[in-house]
Amino acid sequence: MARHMFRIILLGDSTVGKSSLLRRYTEGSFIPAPCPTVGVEFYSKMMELPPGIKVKLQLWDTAGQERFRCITRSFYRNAVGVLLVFDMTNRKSFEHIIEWYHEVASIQIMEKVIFLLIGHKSDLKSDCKISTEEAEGLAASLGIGFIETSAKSNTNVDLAFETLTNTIYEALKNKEIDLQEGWDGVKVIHKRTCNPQKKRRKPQEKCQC
Amino acid sequence: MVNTVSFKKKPRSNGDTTTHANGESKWSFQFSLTDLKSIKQNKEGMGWSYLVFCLKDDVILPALHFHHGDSKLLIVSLEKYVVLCESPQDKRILLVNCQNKSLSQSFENLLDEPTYGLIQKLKKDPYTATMGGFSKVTNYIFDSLRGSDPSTQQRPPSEMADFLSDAIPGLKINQQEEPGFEVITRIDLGKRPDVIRREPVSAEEWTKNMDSEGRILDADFIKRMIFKGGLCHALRKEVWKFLLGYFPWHSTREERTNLQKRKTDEYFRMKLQWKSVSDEQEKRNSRLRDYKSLIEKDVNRTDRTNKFYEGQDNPGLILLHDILMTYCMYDFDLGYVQGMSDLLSPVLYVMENEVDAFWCFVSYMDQMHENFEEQMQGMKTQLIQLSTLLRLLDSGFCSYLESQDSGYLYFCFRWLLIRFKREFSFQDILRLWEVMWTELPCQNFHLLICCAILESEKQQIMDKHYGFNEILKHINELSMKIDVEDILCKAEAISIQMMNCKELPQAVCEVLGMETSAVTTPDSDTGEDESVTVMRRSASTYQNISMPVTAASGTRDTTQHLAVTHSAQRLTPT
Repeated sequence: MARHMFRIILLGDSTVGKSSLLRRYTEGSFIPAPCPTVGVEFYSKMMELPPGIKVKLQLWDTAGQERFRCITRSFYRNAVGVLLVFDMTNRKSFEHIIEWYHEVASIQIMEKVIFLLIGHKSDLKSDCKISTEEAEGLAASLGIGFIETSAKSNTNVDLAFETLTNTIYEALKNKEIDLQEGWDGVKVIHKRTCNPQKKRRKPQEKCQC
Repeated sequence: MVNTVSFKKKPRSNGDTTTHANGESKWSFQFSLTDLKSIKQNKEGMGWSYLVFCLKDDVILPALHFHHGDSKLLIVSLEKYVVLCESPQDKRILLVNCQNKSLSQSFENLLDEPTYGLIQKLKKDPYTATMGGFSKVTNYIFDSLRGSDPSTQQRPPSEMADFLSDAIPGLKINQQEEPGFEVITRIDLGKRPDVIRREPVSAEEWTKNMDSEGRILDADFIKRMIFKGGLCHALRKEVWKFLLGYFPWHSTREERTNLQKRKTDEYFRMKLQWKSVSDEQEKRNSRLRDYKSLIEKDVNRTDRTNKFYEGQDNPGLILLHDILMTYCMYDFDLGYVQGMSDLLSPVLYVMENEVDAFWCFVSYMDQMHENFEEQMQGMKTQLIQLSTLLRLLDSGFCSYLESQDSGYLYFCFRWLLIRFKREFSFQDILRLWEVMWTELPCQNFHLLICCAILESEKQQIMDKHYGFNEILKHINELSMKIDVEDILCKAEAISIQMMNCKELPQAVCEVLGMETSAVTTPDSDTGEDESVTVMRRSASTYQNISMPVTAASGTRDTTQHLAVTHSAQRLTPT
C-alpha cells in the first residue's frame, strides 16, 4: 500500500490563530499567547484515512504579515491543501480571506489546490462579528468548504484537518489532482522505494531512451 | 552552452612555472544544451557525485566528478534551460526534454542566487570563488572562461594529483577511494583550538577602565573581555549603551548626560507624533493603523512569561508598545515588522527606561534593518553567507543537506531574523547578544554561531538520515536546548581556525571581513597571542571590506548559453 504525503499550508491575517490551530492539532495543547510566527514554521502529523491509507501531513504555518509574503509565497505553489483562516471576532480578517484566496490562486494552478475556509475562535461566540451564514456564503461563492473551529475549546480542530485531507485524497483518486513534475504538494511513496526522501520527477511522457 | 574548463597550474612564486600555464586539457569540453540528450548520475551512497553527459549524437562526454557533492546545483542550473525527467528504465538517468522553462522568482529559489553569484564570481576569480561557499566542485577552471581551445594539450593522469595539490595548497588528495579517481577532500583548516571563556566582566573591572571624567580608556580591551565572558548583569544597563553605539566610547560622563537630554527630547517629540493622531486622522492613514494594530497584537504575545511583561496591565507591556510605535515614526518606511518586538524586549528589560531602550533599539535595528526590509534581502544574503562558511567547514554536511532539499538552509531563518532570540532562554540571549555586539572576533560572528550549532547537530541529522521535514523539525525543537557557553566556545574556536587558515577562500574572507593577505600569521607566533593579533587585525579592518556575496546583479544571460563552471574531471579516462 502506498503512503501519501500532503503538504498543507495555513494562511490568514496575523493573530487569527493559525499557530494555535496547528499546535492544538499536532500537540494537543493550547497556549494562550504564542509568539508571533516569523517566516514559515513546520509541523507534521500522521493521519489514517478510513480504508487504512496512511497520510503524512506536512503542515506549514505562516506569518500573517504582508512583509513575509516574499517568503511564504514560495510555499503556496508547493501545497496541495490550503486552510484559509479568519478570526470570527475580527471582520477585517474575514474580509481579507478573498485576498488570501487570490494570492494563492495567482501563483498556484487552481486545479491542484484544495481550500477549506476556517472560522476560528468560535468559542468567543458573543464577540462574533461574522455569522455562520455569511461565512458559508463566502465559502460557497469560492466553491470551498467551511468549518468553525476553536483551538481553545478544541472544537472541530481534528475535523477541519480530516475534512481537508479527505477532500485532497478524493481529488487525487478522481485524478482531479495530478502529480506533476517538480511539485511537492503530494508525494506518493511506494513501499518498494528504498529511499523515501528522494524526489525525482516522474517522466511526463514516454521517452526515446 | 555548457563549458567545462580543465585545471590549470598556478605559477610558482619563484618563477618556475610549468609548461602547462597556457595549456588546455582534453578534459575540457563544451557543448550546446540543444545537443544534450541525457545525463547519468552517480549511484546512491557513492560518497561523491558525478554526472555523465550524453549528447544527441550518442557522444558520451567524460564524467564530471563533484568531489564535494552538489552535482544537484548544476542540475538545478540546467533545469532553468531544459526540462529534465527521470528515465522510466533507470532513475539515475535524466532525460532531456528541451523547452524553455520560465523562472519563478521567489524566496524558494534562493538557490538560484548562489548559482548565479558563483558563475559571476568564477568569471572574475575562479580560484577563490570555487573554493568559497558555493564551489560545488573540486576542479576548476580557467581555460574555457578565457575562451581557449580545449584540444591542444593533454596531460597524463599521473600529473593531475600534482597539479591539484600544487595549485590548491591545503587540499588533501586521496587517491585510494576508487581506482582512477583522485578525491580532494577539503581545505585543511588545521586543528581546532581549545577555547576557554572567562568570567563576566565585573563592575570593578569596568570602572578600572574609566578615567575620572568617565571616558573609557581602552574600548578594545573592554570589548575583548566582554567577548570572552560577557557582562555581569548589573553592568548591562550601562555597558549595553556603549556596545550598541548609543554612547560613544570616548565620551565623558557629562557629554553622555547632555546626549541623553537631547535624545530624550527627540524621543518624546516623535512619541507625540503618533500620540496626537486623532481617530479621524487614523482612519485616513491605513499604514499607521496597520502598524498600530499589529504592534498591539504582538506586544500581547512577546515574552509574556518574563516578569517584566507578565500578567495584565504590566507597565512593561505599555513601554514595549510605545517604543515600537515611536520607532514607526522614527522609521516610517520600515514601520513595524513582526520579529521586532523580540529584538526590543531584552533591550527594554535591561534598560528599564523608555528613552534609553528606544535609542539602543534604534542602534540594534541599524544592524538588523535589512532583515526586515521589503524583500528581506538581508535574510537572503545571510543564508548565502552562512552556506559559504558551512561549505568550507564541512562540505560533506552541506552536500547532505542539499541531497535532502535543505541546501538553502531555510531552517536557520528564525535564528537569523531575530538573532537566536527564540532559540535560547531570556538570560542566555542577554549573554549571546552582548558578545555579538562586540563585533569580535570577526564580522558576522553570528553566522559562525549558526555553524557551531549546525555542526553539533550534524551527526544526529546524518546518522538518522533525516530528510527535509525531519531536519526542520529537529532544528525547530532545538529551541531552549542549546548551551550558550558551549556554543560560544565552539564558534570562537571556528573563528580562530578560519583566521589561522593560510588559504582561506576569498568568499569566506569577505563574509568574515578579513583581509585576504592578513590571514597569514608569523610562524613564530603561537598559542593565544597569535589569535589575539589576528583578531585585532580583522576587527579593525572589517569596516572597509564590502560584502559582494550577493552583489552579483549584472545582466543575466537569458539565452540558451549557460556558462556552467562546474567541473571536476575524470582524471583517468576509462
